[in-house]
Amino acid sequence: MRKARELDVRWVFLALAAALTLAVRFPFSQPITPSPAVKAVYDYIEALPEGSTILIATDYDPQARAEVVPITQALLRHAFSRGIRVIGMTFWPDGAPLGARLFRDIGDEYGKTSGVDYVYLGYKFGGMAQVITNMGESFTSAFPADPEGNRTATMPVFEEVRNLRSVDYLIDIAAGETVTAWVMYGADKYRIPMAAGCTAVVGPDLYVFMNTGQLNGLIAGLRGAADYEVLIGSPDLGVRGMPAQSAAHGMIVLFVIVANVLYFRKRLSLRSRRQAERD
Amino acid sequence: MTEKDKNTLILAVCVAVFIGANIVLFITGHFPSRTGGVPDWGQTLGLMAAALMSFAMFSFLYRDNPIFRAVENLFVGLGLGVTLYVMWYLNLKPEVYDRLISPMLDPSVDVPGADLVLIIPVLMGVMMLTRLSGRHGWISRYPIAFLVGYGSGFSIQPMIHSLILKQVEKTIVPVQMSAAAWGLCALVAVVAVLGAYAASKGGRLAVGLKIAAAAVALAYVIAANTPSLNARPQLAEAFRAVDLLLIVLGVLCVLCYFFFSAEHKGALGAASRVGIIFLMVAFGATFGYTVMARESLVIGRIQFLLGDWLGLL
Repeated sequence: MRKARELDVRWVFLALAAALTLAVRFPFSQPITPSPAVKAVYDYIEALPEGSTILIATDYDPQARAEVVPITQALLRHAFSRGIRVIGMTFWPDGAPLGARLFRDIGDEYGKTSGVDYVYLGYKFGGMAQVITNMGESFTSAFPADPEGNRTATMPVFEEVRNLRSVDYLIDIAAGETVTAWVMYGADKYRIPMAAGCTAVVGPDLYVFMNTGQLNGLIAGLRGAADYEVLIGSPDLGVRGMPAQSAAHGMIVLFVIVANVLYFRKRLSLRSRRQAERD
Repeated sequence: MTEKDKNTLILAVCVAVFIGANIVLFITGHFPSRTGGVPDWGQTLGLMAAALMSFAMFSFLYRDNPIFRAVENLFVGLGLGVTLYVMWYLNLKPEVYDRLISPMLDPSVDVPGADLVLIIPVLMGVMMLTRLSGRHGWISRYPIAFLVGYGSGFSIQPMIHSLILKQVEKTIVPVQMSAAAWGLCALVAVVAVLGAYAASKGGRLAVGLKIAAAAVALAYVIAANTPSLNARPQLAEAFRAVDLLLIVLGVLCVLCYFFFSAEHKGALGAASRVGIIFLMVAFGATFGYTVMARESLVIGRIQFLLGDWLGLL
């Protein structure tokens, strides 16, 4: 018992790593029921007519890719499969190359052309409030060129969609606190329906915007990505990660129970020893 | 064997396993990676380096070591390098250097009149840099003052609208109280009172009450999120009513907890204790989500190592 109490924490790390590796390598099937918050995003995009435009802000960097890349991929696949135009940009400079690659790869998957069916505008410095307000006036003046240097003024995608007011849906995929600024200066100001995708860490902070209707949907973490992949019928990284996540949860719960049992047993034995000493 | 020898041996074994794994990958034909049927050595080296870096970062879980620190510094440096590259090539070069500075340096090219306005932000940027000088640092106060003033004026109205008024508006909404809603509310009230009482007392009874209150709260959360129960309109309405009342109760009790102008005794003390419970639930949810996020990051790395690097997925 004492040995168990003094177990080196590195054995716990090793056990967790082994469980995760096994679950990733030999995944087990498990039901995935999409949450209402994720389904709300899916339903909204599903209801948009062909030729609508959504703006996806990829406000993250490669550190968060395990969670946010599956969300971005699932949203892009859904939009492109429905013939919806997508405008992308980011407020995270080191996330710009990753965002551009995701747009290009998924665009190629669906035979879409940059500048016509979608455009990734990259990073823009100058503060979120100012850039969003600039986009509210004109996309082409806020972003004169895309990261490849192509002039946005000549792009067919901006013939009908001149500014943020012409966007039908706004989605911020965030690894930080950018959603609040998008809600304040974008969705609320220009009255654009908005949803968010985010890392699980950010998720709890965004439910306040769900309650007020400022966000009409939320895709949080790998679990949210898995939900969305199930909804669009295209299981990928999110769904593949769920068995491992369940295994990790199981292991953690097991460790918590074992640690508590050991703790209370120690307390009981201490108490009975003291009682014996008193007697 | 000394601790140092043991660590050296572990490091040697890890390096040998890593090199061995890559040799096996070359022998089995997984490496070099191919793009369009052609060997892509850049991609291959990238995969090997990424795998090596991942193991180096994970090595911290065993103990702090020079390899981990070297890779950590490399990571920070690379991140900064990419940021500088993106800022220069996507923003500063096309919008400042190409439009203003380059034409100024070339006498044969006229700077368009509209672009001359760029001189003002460039000048303010340069003024910011005087911060680095002890003697001329005061100059930086002017652009900072401008930015703070502009930022405040720009943000105060949307902040009040989006972060205060909208939240208050949705906290006080009309609630339709059916019999089921009253019943659930009574249950919630009993649990809240028991929770507050237990929090104020010690002993076995308090522990029992805390467990009972937690069990009832958990049962309610499970019931409120069960689709079959929510399919019944009356129950769904009751759950909604209780949720709204819980939001109001939570807001008021948490505000009481943060009200320091009076001693937390009597009704204020009880409310602040209930406020602590709400805060703990919020912190618990945040912590749970954080654990889930960290798990996801490890899963992403394992997917990379097993899939992209080893080709086992």
